Amino acid sequence: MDNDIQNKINILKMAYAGTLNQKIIEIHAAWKALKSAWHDDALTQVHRLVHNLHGSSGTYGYQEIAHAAGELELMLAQCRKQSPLPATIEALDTRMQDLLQCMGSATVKRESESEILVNTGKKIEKIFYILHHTNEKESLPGQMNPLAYLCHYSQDKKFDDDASVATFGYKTFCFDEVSSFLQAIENRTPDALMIPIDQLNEALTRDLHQFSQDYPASLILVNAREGQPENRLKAVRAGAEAYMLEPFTLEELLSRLDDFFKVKKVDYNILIVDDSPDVAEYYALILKQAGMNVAVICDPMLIDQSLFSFNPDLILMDMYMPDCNGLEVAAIIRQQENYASIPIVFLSSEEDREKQLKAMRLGVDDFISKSTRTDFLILSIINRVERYRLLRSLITKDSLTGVLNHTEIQKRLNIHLKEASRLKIPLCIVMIDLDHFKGINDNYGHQMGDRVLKNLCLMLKKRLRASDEIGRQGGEEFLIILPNTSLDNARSIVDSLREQFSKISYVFEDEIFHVTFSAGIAQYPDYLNNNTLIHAADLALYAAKKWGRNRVCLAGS
Amino acid sequence: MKKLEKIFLVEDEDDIRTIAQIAIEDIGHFTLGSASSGMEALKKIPDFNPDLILLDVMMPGMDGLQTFHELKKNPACADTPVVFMSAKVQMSETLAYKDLGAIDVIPKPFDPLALSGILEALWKQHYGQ
Repeated sequence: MDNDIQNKINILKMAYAGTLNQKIIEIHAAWKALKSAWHDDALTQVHRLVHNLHGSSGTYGYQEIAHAAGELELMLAQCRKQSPLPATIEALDTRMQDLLQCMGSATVKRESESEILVNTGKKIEKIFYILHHTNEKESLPGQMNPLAYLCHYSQDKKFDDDASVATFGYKTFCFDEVSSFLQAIENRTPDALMIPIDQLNEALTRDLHQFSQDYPASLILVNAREGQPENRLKAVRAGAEAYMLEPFTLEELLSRLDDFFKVKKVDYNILIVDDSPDVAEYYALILKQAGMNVAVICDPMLIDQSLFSFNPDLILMDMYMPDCNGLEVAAIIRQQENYASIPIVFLSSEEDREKQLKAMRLGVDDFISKSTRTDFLILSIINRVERYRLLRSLITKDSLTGVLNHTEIQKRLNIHLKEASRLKIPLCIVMIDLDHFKGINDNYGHQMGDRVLKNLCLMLKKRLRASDEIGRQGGEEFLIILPNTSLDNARSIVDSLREQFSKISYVFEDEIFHVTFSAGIAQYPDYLNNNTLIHAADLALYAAKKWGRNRVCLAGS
Repeated sequence: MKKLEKIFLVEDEDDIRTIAQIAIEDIGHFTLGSASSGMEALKKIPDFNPDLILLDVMMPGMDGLQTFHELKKNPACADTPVVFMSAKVQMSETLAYKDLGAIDVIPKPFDPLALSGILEALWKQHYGQ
């Protein structure tokens, strides 16, 4: 199979996964409408959406979704057109929820770019039970009471439960008393639960400890006003892994949850450049056995855009290749924009020490001696990769929000534009600007302003694909790159994000407020380079602000 | 035997049309024409003059069967072989479609990597008789 075609198909698959969020919303809305008023047109609408999903998802390789959609389609086809029995509707509803779950799982962001998006069936939604703090009224004035926040969040009928799921990935349930809390745990094992320290009597401590034994994959948190050793011991005895000291913010809580549930995958991509295929294969074998991903190049002149998707963390190169000087080769590699700061490590033999010193003066990163033992070699590489990754993230990431900084997102835009031009696929950029942000800082303080920024980025990171890039352009301005996305798709994605974000409520003293953003979108190839693209998106953003904020505008409209 | 070169696809779902394009043009090296509705197909097919028509059964507005009947009424394309694409493919349905005059029915979802091979095979089968 031609590499180019496979590449195209993979990109299409990723793009398709990006449309799943919108499809979830469409199908959910159509099903809700049908349930409230069962008639022919509504049924046809749902049937058509599910039918289309069945066809497209299967064709794109999402077999679980296709299967679920296929079964649902059969059931819908068999439905009598006049109001069916309540039992039938319930059965359909269960199937529908399963299908939506399936689709949700497929949209989970992937850690590594090189993975082809296949539905793993893993549920994105983590069930989180919180036992409500009984002394809410005693909360200190002026401090954000996070539990009250969470209760507002999930118990307030105004907000769709989906807001918390979609935004943060946790379906949160709050309980006022222990018995219903325990009942819920029995009915459905949560992925995480939080309980105040003053509720931990002997019986409950025993129960929770047993729970932690039976379900080691679940996280138990305890929240308390003080961190005295006796309390901490109590928490440990209950099997709690985390001790949340009040007051804590929602972000801190979510961060703790995220850390626990994050799949720690160590993925090293090593590129070996050596003109001798035997030597290259030898090192490739060693590294592969250590669990690394390895690509080999024997002719440095062949390094080109096709390695874009491999994204190496480190390049291992023989210092002496008969036809060219290793340093020259390193310079050639560095000419490629995306390899400009990649660590290049030379393999050399002991006798070259003098030459080594000379090379280091000329700016070579590092040397590993060819005679190094295999295990030292592996460790050496791991250390270097980790160090460079840390350095790279410090250089490329914005410290507050964790998204790319201004310089880096501009670089990425150039790279993505080249890729889009090579593959002849569209690309969209989105300029997002928070509305009335200065007012938020002025009225609620900069800490709150920072929280809002972090929340936005958290949501964007969770809802967008691995291939999408998020960068901070300025104070409250963000630039998003959506590769292989048409203007229409981009608009619906961003509009959905806009709505989700506007639903997040913030609590300050006695006040609840919301924050919105405006966005402008421009598409390549309507605009051909990064400057015109950004300018167009900027104008669209300006239009969005002018027309009332909290909306999305397209360039050229 | 005439060679299979031009294929016309009638399919309302954008995503399926997109990947079908890769399947048919890039992998199969055929020339592809397409329409997102029965009405559009009726207008485009006579000019495009395909060797084979791939027709989705379930579409909003004019569905696959209606489109099929209209195509058969037009002398310009009445003889062009038609292959249906359907989500539910039971033997009884396949036979019914074949009785109507289609050369075969392929199931949806289809494997994009295998599609052009399947169409080529159906073509050979049809003209081999």
